[in-house]
Amino acid sequence: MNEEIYLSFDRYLAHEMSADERAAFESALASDTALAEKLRIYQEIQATVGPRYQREEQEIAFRKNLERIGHEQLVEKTGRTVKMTWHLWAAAASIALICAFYFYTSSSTPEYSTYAQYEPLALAERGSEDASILKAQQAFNSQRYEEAVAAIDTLLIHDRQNDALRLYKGISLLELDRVEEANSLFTEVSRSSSIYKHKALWMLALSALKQKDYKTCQDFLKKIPADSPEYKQAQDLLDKL
Amino acid sequence: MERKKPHADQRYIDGIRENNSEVIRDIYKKFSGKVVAFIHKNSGDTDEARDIIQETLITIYQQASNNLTLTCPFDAYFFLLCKRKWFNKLKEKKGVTITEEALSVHDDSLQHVLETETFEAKTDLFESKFKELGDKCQELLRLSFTLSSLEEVASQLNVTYGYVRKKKSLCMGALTELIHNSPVYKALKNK
Repeated sequence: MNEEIYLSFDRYLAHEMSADERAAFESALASDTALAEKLRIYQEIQATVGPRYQREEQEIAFRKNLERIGHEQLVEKTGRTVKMTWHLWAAAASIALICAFYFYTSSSTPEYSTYAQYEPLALAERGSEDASILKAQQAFNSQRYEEAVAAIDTLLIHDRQNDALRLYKGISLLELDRVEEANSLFTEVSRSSSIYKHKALWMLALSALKQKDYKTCQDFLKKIPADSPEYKQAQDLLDKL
Repeated sequence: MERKKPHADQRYIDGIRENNSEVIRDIYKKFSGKVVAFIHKNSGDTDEARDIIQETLITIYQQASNNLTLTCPFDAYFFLLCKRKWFNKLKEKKGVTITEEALSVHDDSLQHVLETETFEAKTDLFESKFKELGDKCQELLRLSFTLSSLEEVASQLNVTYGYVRKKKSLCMGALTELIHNSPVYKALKNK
């Protein structure tokens, strides 16, 4: 780096050059594009990086505010919940009742059935009215798991890497007690980078719970990180084990 | 662009700059639904939509703090920014193909969007190069940006004013060189 250049930038921008010196510097700028470019960057740093650091605290406050409002505004408005039709609501309500019933009657050892409550499969919301998607969805949501596996398989032919499909196929298989097939799907998804990877860990834990393999169940639960939506229920189950 | 009359929606930009919760809430209420629906249709979910909206608002905040005069409706500007951010995310993911139709833009807010994107890319570049500087340079520049005068910086660092001033120019020079030599800057230069 030529130090002299930058010392002269400083003096030029602070208007400390004599008239002659200034004229010479400006003619150098006019003939040397690299020099002119560097001066422009130098000024841009002053104009953008400087104020950024001055506003650091304000920016942190803004980010926090955004986080808060974003969660408050985007939860009720858009989640699956709002888009659920009335019969899904009814199904969800009855599942909730059954769960409540289980909680009251369950013994001290946690049972798979207590935790086996799944969000309804909602693929059609992704903008497709495809008959095979609806079929998969209806079969899963009304717990006809044999049919669900077949329908999801059809969808997977064209969408092999769809982790939502793979996860829900796994759940269906687990419900049918085809444990090994289910676990291998969950394992694949849990190793992917998709948003379903933590849910897949949770399912691996539930699958172990269903086999009453409490040790393996605990191992999977411990892998669920604190920032995942599954964390709370994982901790809850860990406490009971 | 600065000479044009601001659009009435400039109030959203001002509200973002001032971190005005009411305005931010209003933006979510009025404009987020469309973004969420769009992301759902393009293989994303609500959480991803929330992140995209948040990142977009931060980008607008940063540019608004610098200089941003809106001459088009906020809706169009905001939606297009979110949409392009989401497509960039999808491109990074494997196996997602984006149709040409989805990427081509016929929108008068495009100019604003491109300016904001260039601003964002530059800010990111400057930030990352700043972190490549030595610790001494980073500290001195940080202080010179946040304290009101170089005299104050000198007294805080227990050195002379002359030393601080010279050192500041040289650190700025080192940062300038890093930016000037980076391929990202060369790509941005012509925008």
